[in-house]
Amino acid sequence: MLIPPANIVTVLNATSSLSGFGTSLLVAGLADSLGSTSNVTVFPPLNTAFAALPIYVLNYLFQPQGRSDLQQVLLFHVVPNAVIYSSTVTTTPATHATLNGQTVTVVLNGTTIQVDQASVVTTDVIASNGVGQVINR
Amino acid sequence: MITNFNSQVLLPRPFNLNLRQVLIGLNLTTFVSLIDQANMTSLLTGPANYTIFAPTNAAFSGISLPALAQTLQYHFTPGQVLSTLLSNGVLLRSLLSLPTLPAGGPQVLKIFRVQDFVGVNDANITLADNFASNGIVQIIDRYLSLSLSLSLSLSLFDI
Repeated sequence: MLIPPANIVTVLNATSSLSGFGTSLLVAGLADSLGSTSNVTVFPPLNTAFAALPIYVLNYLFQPQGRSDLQQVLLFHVVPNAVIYSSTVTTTPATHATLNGQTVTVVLNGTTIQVDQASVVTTDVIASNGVGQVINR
Repeated sequence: MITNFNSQVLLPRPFNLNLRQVLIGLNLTTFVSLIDQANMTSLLTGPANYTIFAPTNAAFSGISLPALAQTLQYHFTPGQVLSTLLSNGVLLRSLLSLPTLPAGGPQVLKIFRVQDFVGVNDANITLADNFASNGIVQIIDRYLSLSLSLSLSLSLFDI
């Protein structure tokens, strides 16, 4: 029997290498809304990308005074109203508006999908309300 | 700038923390609240660049600062002063001016350096070069007292 996938937040939270993103969504108060939004593409960064931030930046983002900045960072990793499967990405750069109001450019470069300066390391994490493309930064 | 770090999280553009946000991220919360008390917050959030010698919370424990604003001004020097520029004997001008110097000239901070040990006046720098969009935070292990400033200024005057 094939069980339909859970929502994107639940699916990503089940991956230990993405726990930083999952925790950040909770701290920022965005987990519930992202889990219940239809038709989204999420670019979750690996934990190693979070660890590469200076410690004082992480520490600031995780404090109450840094909450709105953390939200902006996380919303920059979500494209609404588009489910971008890897098969739809071509060598022609496509620009997508993110939930923080800025855009990201997604393009196929050789065999690697790039999202701005980041590379997709795990493609097509399927979820009930969209897809995740795991990036390295 | 923090944007020079490789392979960090993809960040919105521009993503920069100002001095106040960096101080909070470094847990230097007593210093931040003293700055707020002295109505000097705009020094941390404004466009001008400063290097701050910021004491740890422990450095203020049990201390009631006389001349709060003046003491705090003494912890700022204009511009971005990287630790690599802090050679032994370097003098930096602080934001504090007192009538004890001609034309209200700035009170100075004196750097000492022995190999990798760097300090300012009688404090040690314990964590150097924390970058903000509008300056640099150098963490020190005690606050800089004005009495030292006066003796430094007098010795300069003698020269």
